[in-house]
Amino acid sequence: MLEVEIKHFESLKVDLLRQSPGKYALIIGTELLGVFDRPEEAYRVGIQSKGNVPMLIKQIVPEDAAARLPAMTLGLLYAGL
Amino acid sequence: MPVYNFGHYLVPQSGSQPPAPFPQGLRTSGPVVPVLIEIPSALADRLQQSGQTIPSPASGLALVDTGASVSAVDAGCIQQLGVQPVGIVTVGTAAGPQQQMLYPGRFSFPGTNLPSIDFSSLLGADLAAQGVDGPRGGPLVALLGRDLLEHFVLVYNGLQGLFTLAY
Repeated sequence: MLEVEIKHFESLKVDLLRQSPGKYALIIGTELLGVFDRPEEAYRVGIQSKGNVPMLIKQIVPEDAAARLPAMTLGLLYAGL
Repeated sequence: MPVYNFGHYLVPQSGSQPPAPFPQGLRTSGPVVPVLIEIPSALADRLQQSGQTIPSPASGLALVDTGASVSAVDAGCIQQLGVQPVGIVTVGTAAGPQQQMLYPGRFSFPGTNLPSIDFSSLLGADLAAQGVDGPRGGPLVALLGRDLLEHFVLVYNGLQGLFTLAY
């Protein structure tokens, strides 16, 4: 899921980084619906224009930060001794 | 400022003595709050405009996880509500980096005075298998990570078996 959108984002990334660094791109399919200051705005526009469909809302940054949830990913949330 | 206090106490058999702090309860259950997982407000507005039914929220417990850089929601719960993904994120695991879906969502905290919060993205994770142990046990449906905690004051009083969340 979202492979098409991610591929399209990557194809636009250089231009987006030059024009709107730090903002949020909204892509559905191969259509860039806009660039927004906040991800909430992007989601609202996506929902209003295309309905409840998968969409890519991605911050325009050179490198994405990885999420870190060590207790969950190591299965230690409720580990017993 | 809304403040939520929760303490674990042992209630004595005779009514003459006050409840005693029970630190073991907090250690076992962790800092958990009751939570309702709802569809994001923008989607609720859209469904309402088109005369569609808004799905009932999923309920369970949310664990405050100061080790988590982002908040998470049980993927089964959010998918059951019909919420579609808005992204993918790389998660560092013991087995190497893995990609997981991001979903928008809304958390409300019944029985507390904490405000409801819309998230532009929550990590979809398999939390259902990790129920909350201890006296305050139940299904774990969310993790409250540092993206949320940056707006809160959290006090963890292990000696007294209580914690405080203030917004």
